[in-house]
Amino acid sequence: MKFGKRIKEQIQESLPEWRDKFLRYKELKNLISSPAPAESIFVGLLNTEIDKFNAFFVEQEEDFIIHHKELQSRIQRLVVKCGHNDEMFREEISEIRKDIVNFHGEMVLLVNYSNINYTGLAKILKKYDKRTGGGLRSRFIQKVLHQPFFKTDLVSRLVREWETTMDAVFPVTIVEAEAERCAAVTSAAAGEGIFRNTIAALLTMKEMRRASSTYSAFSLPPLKMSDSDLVLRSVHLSSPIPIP
Amino acid sequence: MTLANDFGYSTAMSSSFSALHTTVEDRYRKLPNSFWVSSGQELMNNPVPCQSVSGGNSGGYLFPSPSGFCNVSAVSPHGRNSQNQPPLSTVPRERLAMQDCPLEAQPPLLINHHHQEFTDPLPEFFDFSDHVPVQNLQAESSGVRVDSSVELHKKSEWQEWADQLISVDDGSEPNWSELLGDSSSHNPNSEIPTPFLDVRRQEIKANQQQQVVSSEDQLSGKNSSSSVATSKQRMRWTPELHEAFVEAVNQLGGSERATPKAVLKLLNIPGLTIYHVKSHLQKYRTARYKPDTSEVTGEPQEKKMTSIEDIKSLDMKTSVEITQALRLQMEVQKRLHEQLEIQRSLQLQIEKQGRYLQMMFEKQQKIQENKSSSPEASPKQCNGTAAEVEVGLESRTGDQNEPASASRKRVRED
Repeated sequence: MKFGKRIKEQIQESLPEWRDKFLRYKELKNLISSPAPAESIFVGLLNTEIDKFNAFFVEQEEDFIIHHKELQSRIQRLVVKCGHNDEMFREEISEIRKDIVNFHGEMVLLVNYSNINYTGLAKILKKYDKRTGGGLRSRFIQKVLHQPFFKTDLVSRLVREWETTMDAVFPVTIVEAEAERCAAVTSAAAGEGIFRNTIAALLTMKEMRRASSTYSAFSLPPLKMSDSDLVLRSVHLSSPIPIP
Repeated sequence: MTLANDFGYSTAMSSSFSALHTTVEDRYRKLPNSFWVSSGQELMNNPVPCQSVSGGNSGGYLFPSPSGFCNVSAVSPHGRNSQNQPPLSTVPRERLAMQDCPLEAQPPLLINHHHQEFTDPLPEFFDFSDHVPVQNLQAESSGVRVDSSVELHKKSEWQEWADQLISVDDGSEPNWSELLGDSSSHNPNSEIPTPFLDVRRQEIKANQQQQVVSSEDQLSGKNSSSSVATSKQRMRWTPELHEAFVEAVNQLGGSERATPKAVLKLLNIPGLTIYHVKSHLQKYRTARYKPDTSEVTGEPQEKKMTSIEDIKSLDMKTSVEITQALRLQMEVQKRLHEQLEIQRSLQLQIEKQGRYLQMMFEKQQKIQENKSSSPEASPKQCNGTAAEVEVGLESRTGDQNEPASASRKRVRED
């Protein structure tokens, strides 16, 4: 039940278009609980879900690739336009900065999407095996590992590229650095969309990896996030976005 | 913040401008190489001899048309090759990974272009115990791929694998074979210089490996719903392919004037259909003419940071706050991504270990079945593994629900 709750929360926090693209964990669980869960039906459902993930993931990836190039071009044009005119650069870059951070965030959320769904599949398969005493899990999960939605390397690469780029577009002044240390801006920042979603994702991950009664060789170790805890603790999430 | 801080901020700014001047330039240099790849496209007007390209530096799709696109791929050497290679060489593997469906047709065509040992990359892919995090894997595999050996692989192995692929009853992906088959016909050795071909072959090889791996996993229990053949195959784009696309569009007069048909023809990439180009062009047009909207939500991005945007217009002081907020957001995002990557590699390790354990368990069972005596054989096998495996084995046998007959049956199936 814990994962079911977590994934539900994740879905609630995620961007609107994404909400119906996640794993239908509860439905699958219900199927398993039914008196005679037929493997063919179960597998059929899983495959449908996987197709859904693949389609969504690949499409998002395509959008990201296009956007990635556009953002690059934008920065290049700016660099060329400003030349050595630093003041102009600073002004113009602030707008782009926001876009970069948001773009980075979206891509990370896609990676998170992939991961959550994979985790969900692994868990539901485990439940299935427990219920039926079969060995479906290990066979099926092998297939999942080769699915497009699981192969997040390209998106991760783009994410890392933008992290590198951030140095170039985030000029640091002494005063800024000091001000950051006593920042009280966190509540404002956590208010909306991507950022909120990201925080939720991190918290979910932490929760899910706590040791549980079903801890086994197939379980992930607890999450290590020493300094992130500080970050997270300093963030106060405002009341949840009401679902219409 | 107090007035003093405001003042301090602006003086700090002006004094740091000179520092910034050089810093900014340094930072431009810090921009990833991919930034400069596209800027090098200005050089496109002068066709650069294709030989100048070193292998692994460009998207393989460009090769089939010696006329137009030698130039695009020739651009990349103007960046820093060594850094470009690791990410790019992993791209082919995923780019070509559409659905998990194997090739169904034309194995003979593939045979002509198989050109390196297939087994090489495969262990790498699974060898996560040695290569955590994932980046290491990329770096290593790139090393393998850039080594281009011209030796053709044995035909028999191809046949074996081709048979495997054909025998699997799964959704049709004719584009795969088309992709590879046509490329073979488009790449007469005399026209295309060797480095291009090598990369192309490496990609084909990587693609093949993908195919084989996925076919092995198509066991009877997995009724793939993708068996419904769709005319619109899902295509996996890459940045390189997209660059080629942008180039083609520009050549045709811009995103508004270029037609899907013309772009398709100009790109001349086997396996690329007009549907792919059409939908991509649509996305491209949208992205260019609505730069303020996020591609996901379609909402204006301003909505995302409303609270900060409102403040922004007020005064200089709060721009610092905005920057702080952005930094914080970035930090959290980075953290999440880090954790995701770690989690992913752990999950892969777990599954790999699981398979290994299963293998051991089955071997053990087999031994116990076949030989009534020699119990010392099985413990020895177990002891040979790592400590964690042992622990895993214990807990695995602990919650091993399946009856012995089921596992025996599985062994026979293998």
